[in-house]
Amino acid sequence: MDVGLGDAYARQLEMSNLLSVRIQSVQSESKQLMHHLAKVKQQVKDATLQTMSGNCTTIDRVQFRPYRTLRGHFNKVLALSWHPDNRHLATAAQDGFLLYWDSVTGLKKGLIRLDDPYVICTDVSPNGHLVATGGLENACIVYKLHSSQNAEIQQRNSIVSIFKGHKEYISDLSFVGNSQVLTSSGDKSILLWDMEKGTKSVTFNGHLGDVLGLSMCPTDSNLFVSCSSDRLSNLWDIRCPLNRRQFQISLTHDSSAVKFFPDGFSFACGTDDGELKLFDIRSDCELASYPVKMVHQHVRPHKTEELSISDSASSLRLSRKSSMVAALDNPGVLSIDFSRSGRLLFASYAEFSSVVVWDTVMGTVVGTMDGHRDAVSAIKVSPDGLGIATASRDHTSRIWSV
Amino acid sequence: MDLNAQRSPFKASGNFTDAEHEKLLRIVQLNKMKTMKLERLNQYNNRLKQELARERINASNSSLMIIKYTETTRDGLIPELWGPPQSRYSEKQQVRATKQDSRCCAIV
Repeated sequence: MDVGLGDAYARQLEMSNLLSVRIQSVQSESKQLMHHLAKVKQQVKDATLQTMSGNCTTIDRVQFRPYRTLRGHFNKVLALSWHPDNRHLATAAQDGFLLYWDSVTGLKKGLIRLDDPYVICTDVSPNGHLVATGGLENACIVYKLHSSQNAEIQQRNSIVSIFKGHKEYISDLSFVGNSQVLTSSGDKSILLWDMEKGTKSVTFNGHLGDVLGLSMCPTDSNLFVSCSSDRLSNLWDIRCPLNRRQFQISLTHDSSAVKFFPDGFSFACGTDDGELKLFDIRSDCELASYPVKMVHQHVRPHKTEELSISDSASSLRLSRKSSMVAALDNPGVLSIDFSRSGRLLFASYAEFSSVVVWDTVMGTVVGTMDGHRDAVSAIKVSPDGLGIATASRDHTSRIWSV
Repeated sequence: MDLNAQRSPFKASGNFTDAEHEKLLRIVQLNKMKTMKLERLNQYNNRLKQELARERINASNSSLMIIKYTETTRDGLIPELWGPPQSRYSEKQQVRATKQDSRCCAIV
């Protein structure tokens, strides 16, 4: 054998052994670290919100009355966003229109014909001049929000920006200030778009599945939390997109909806099996859970009546089938929001047409909001906390108050 | 084989058999993979260490802070705790002006 080659081989062999030993030691170190981490996390988790709620005043029951029913869409209303003036709101439906309403009078104030009729999410800018939409056509489009009655003027100059770059549908979006939009997408990424530059400025990669929702921190505009079908929720800082903090939401189901608690230190997350959980950032752990089986005692799935009449006629069986498909489409939690103090947590589920009102602290169901005839796709409390708006697949939206 | 020989860092040493050369190449490749694996593991450990170093407050404390927040923030949707709110939704506003008594005008 060639001496040089033999030498080289021996050196490589030695290195190989050395590497193996080091890999083993590092592996055992990471095992120890993981063990240690689990212990630390267990130690921190010394209570839940419910066990600490002893001195809290209990709420027996909250009742909300429907104040207005907003009729005007011809298909499922899928997205909803309050104007910062607390009085107006924008709704977008699968009929391809975005309507702008006065919630007090219940009258339409404006209309935008959407470029992408398969809209999923909307958000009104903090100054109230713009509305951003995202949907199945992978583009985030920002429109001017007019309240002019002249439809022609509205049509002509309503698009402000078109952001293309996502490779899959846009699942959720939120304004960051008045000139930036954050979008989460089925392509596993989150992008921050800058309207002045006209392009994306930051990319957030890290989720291993479709990103299904995001929520801005109400107290710090640099923080936001996202949830994904990889069953994790990530906490991001806009200034350092490479770092993130992960929270395990569920072991078995996608996390479909996320919302910051008003104090900015916790967030609630809903999963596709209907479970809701509250996580705390300071403690890095789960503080409370709101199981779907408790909901079953208060409301019944809205599909049941269809099931009971469906065995007679074949045409009805078809409708039952399609509604089942709709339920399979995205089961579980559809939308969540907190009341102004965070004491109430509103949740809508794919299998119920009623909105369920949870007492965040006690972990009990304190009320329901019944009236919609199909699942509620979006629920938002007005910024001042006095009104609640719901958008439903039954083609209507409603305004509720005490 | 020629291609492999070109890629090898030891091609200068010349006259050796293909089998030995293959063997050397394989172990070099293996070592590269091991180095990468080690790097990844080290990164993972650093992440774990960072996570361990993070300051955490007890869940009991953060629960109390959340409860305090809910008790000190006025909430117009819970009249049981905060009393009935002065709200634009308190009374239903009349949308259309009430119809005037539309009797036939009297023609004089």
